[in-house]
Amino acid sequence: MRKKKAVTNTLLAVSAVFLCSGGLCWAISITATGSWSETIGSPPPAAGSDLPNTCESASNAISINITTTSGNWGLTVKKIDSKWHANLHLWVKRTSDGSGSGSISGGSSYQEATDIDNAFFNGNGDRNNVTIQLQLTGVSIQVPPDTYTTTVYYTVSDS
Amino acid sequence: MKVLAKTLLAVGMIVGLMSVATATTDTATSTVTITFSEISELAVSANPATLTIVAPAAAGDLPADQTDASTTMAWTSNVAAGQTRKITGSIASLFSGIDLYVTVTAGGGSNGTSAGELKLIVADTDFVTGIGNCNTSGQTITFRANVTSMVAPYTNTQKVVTWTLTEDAV
Repeated sequence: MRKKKAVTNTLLAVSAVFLCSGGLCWAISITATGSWSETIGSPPPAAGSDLPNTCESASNAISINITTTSGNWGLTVKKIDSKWHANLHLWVKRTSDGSGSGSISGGSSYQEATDIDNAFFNGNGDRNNVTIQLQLTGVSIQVPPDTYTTTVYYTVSDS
Repeated sequence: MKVLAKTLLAVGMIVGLMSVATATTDTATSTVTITFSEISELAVSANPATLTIVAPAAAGDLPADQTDASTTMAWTSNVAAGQTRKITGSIASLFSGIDLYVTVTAGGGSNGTSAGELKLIVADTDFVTGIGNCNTSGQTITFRANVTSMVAPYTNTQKVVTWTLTEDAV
């Protein structure tokens, strides 16, 4: 009976350790705030002229927080289109290091967000307010008037 | 003691597996929304030169036609899938004794198709049709004044020609 109780107590203790160390307490977390909306062709170009080929968001259009890290991590980016035009290409770049106890590197040049995950930047430890800028290329009068929407996915993984 | 060791080992393995399964990844999203406005822009480079009708070479003939091709037209247009635009032309009122014909080049494709030479009348007439998503400039406008009958001389008579980029009938 006493032995059973000891086993039960041990299991409880180990479970508690698991909750805080193995899974829930240290599960890496990412949040992204902000979005980018752009209206192209207003004001219209002069008759005979095309639209400018590219447009850019504000340099801090998106802010990312990466928290409850347990060491090194890597972040990938992809997009999933709701409605998109084949001529259009979306690019992302990291415009600040943010702040926090850890470090961050990579991603400071534009890279295209496609429909598959591609490495974006990486780091170590928690980072807050890492800002992201977006760029759209392929803009032209050839794109029919409409509203095009895509969702950008930022996935962080322990490494 | 043996039971305790076995239990710890088993729990340890489970903890290890669950840690691998739950602690590694998280995803956040942001939305990008791009709106392309409808664009319908049309311009002409300038007013055409004055067309001066001169006396015919031989008595009994009507004065010869006079032409001017010194001006151009430019347009930028985008349309929803399946739709096109056209350029219509009209003149505020007709010249006395003269018919005015106009050709507007277009270049084909999404720039549209020129209707060739047409007489300018008070009602809108289609000079270019089938305009899709395009921007083009330097399309020549050729005016030709054709004397239809002898009338009393007049000078500096101006008529307003209106060009409109508008939706084609679907």
